[in-house]
Amino acid sequence: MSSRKQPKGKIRPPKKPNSADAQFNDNWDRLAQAIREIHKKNASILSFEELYRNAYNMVLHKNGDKLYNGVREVITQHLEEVAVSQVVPAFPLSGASSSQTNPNGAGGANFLKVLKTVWEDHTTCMLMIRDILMYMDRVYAKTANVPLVYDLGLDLFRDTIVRSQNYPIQNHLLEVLLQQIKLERENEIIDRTNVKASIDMLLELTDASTKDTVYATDFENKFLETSSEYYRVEGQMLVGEYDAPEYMKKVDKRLNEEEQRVRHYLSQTTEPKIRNIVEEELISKHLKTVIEMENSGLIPMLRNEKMDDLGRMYKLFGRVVKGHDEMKSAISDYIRELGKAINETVTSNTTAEGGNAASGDKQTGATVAVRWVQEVLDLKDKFDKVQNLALSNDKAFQTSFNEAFEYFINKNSKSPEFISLFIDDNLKKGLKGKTEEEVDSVLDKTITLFRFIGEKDVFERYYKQHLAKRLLLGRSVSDDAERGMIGKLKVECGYQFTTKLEGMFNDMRISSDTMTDFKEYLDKSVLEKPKLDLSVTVLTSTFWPMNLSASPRCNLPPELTKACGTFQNFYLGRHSGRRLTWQSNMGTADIRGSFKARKHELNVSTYQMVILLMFNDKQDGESLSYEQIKGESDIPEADLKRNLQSLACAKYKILVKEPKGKEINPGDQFNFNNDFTAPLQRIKIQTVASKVESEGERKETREKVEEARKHQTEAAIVRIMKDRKTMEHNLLIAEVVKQLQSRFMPNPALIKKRIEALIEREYLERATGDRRVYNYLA
Amino acid sequence: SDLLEDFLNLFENSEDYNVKIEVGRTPNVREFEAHSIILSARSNYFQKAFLNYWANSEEKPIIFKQPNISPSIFEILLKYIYTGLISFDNKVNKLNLVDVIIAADELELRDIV
Repeated sequence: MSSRKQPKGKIRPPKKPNSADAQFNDNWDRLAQAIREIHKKNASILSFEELYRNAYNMVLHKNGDKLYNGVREVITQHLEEVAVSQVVPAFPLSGASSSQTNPNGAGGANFLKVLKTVWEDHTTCMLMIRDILMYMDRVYAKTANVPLVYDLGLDLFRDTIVRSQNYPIQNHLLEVLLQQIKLERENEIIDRTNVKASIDMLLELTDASTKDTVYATDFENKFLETSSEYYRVEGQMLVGEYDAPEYMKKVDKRLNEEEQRVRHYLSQTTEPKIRNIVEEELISKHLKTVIEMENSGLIPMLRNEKMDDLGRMYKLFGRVVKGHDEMKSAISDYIRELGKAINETVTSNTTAEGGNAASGDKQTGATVAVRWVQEVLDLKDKFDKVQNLALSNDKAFQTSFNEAFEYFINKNSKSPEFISLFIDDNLKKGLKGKTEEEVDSVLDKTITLFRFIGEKDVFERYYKQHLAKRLLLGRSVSDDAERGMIGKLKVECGYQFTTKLEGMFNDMRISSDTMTDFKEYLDKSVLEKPKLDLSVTVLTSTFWPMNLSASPRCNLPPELTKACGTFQNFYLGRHSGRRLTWQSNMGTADIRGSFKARKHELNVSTYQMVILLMFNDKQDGESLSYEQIKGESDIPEADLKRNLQSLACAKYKILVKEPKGKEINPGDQFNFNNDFTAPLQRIKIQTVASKVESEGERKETREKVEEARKHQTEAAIVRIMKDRKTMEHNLLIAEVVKQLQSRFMPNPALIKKRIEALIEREYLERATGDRRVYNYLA
Repeated sequence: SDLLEDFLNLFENSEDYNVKIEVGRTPNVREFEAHSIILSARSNYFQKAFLNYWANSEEKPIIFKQPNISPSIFEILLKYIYTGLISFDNKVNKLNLVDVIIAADELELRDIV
């Protein structure tokens, strides 16, 4: 093969003083020629070992610098030539920016292609040059502290081609690259290979001063600037043209495209930067606009349960700082608004039948409560679903939703009563037709509402009242369900509250045993048997919510009074030292009534029985006035009105009222309704059970709650001070709030008053010297 | 048999050689037969020399010229390339130890240098 030449048969000059120079020239000529051959792609005619030896000799003879500089010169010359003969002729015709004359960027693509070839040729040549100059790299470049020859080649390429001082190569390159990217953003197909080659080239070149890549110094900033501008314009265009779901899809697509672009032909370091730009221009800047888009924004999505769109918004907006905050506050506002609407339907309902409620129309009252709770539960369900399906169960969102629920639930001052009524409703008739699991899940949900109530003590008071009525009136359908509910409350409120409830259950059980014993006692005794079956439930006063000091008066019929006396003797004989008080407002009676058509068994309240028995002594058609009934029975006025209403104005009209009407007024006349008919033999006259309280009762409950709070507050203060002995005012307040807030939110003024009361009663004193510090007095 | 023995054997009986190296200047010329794969593996210099674009692989064996090294020195280096051993037997005296090192430097046998 021709490449295996013998050393050239040149006649060497004899060794003269300048023979080293001659040697150098000879070696260098050969090498320079070889490099030119390499550039011409004629390397196959060259002998590696000979060229290597030439370079080796030059370095060995201390001519490394001359060799190095010579190489630099040859390569520079070559690159200059390449610039003129290949790169410049490939410049896109009318500048890269005029895409009208050059619609597909074909000129630009061609330019990139040429550059790609030039770059590849250069790097291939540099590899070969590096091979033959291996000795120079190792021995000379290290000691002279100059770049290795391959890196020298890169620097020369950078300065002679990419940043040429003589030709606007750099401008063209950057413009073409940006134009290609713009074309791709506008859905043109571009040749990514060529773009990638140029980008890779820029990534391999290093900027001398920053030591960063030429990609970073020359290209990246320009790319980010133009992208910023591009998406700024696009963002404005898109919000104007598309609805929210479409807009988000477009943004999603853009983000995806940019990510793909980086992966395919840009540097990974650019990824977060371009992502930030798209996020800033397409998300951050239009957050509010998109959220508030009419008919398609966040609220319409919620209204129409567009879970996919909501999920997309959650993911998309989560990319930017304010995104989730904006969503959260918009959704929270919406919940508040819906909650307000629910509250408003209730108040408008209760005020509409406010008069009725006060005078005993309990059905509507309870219905309002049940409906309110049901609507709140439905709302909760809806947002739980959103949370679950669209918001990845994001805790921050949950918290903000909870706050919104808490807000509007507590805006309705009746919510503790309503929730208790709702439970009452479910533990009574609600159970029918529902499986145990269904009831359990309803009650579980109710507990979540219970958590939102600020005034838990108010709820507890109502719950006790309602439970008492369920137990005493035998309205509770399932003992298991009752206990299940108490179990749930125990988890929420602690045993303190539930021990009383459990005590109520206990009383019921003991009473049933007592009644068995009482029957035996009657059977064995010689006493005259009562003419009626008496059933007594003995309640431990501290467990039950009834106000014993204000025991309701009522004149019972003589038979009943006698029977009560018999029981009282029996009971006190067994348990000496106890006091029995009769709660005639809580009792029921089964009585038989003879009407013209047939006899009916009537299940009525004790009061109703008292009223009805009065008519036994009257002739047919003889009426009793309201005042007569009131005077004779001595039933408290509110109860009397309510019971008369149940008898004369409700479904079963046992009495006829004159004049007719829904309300009971002084001067009304009542007649026994002999013409009464009903399909059933046994009739239950709806008793005054669960219902929304009238204003007066509410005030009373309120006062009781306030009273209880005073005690609880004092107890908390004493408990804390007993432990700490001495404490500063603000710290004490904070500690008291901490202890009580699970039941209600005590206001500092209340606490302050209690502290003063305790100082007065000499539990505490102000420290001498510092009036803001209290001491505990044992 | 151990690795060293096998390589020594390969060095001494290079029947399936693919490189011929003409070493030295007339009249002191000797031809060595060797395996390019082993030379490449052991020396940067040979590794580059046998790259496709320098050595035409169609030509068998590859002829390689190394005129500036004397055959006796080259033999020591070649043995070193195959075995990692430098035999300082009677052939090597202190004088040509320097030549061994100089030649090793040229051929990028860094361990020796």
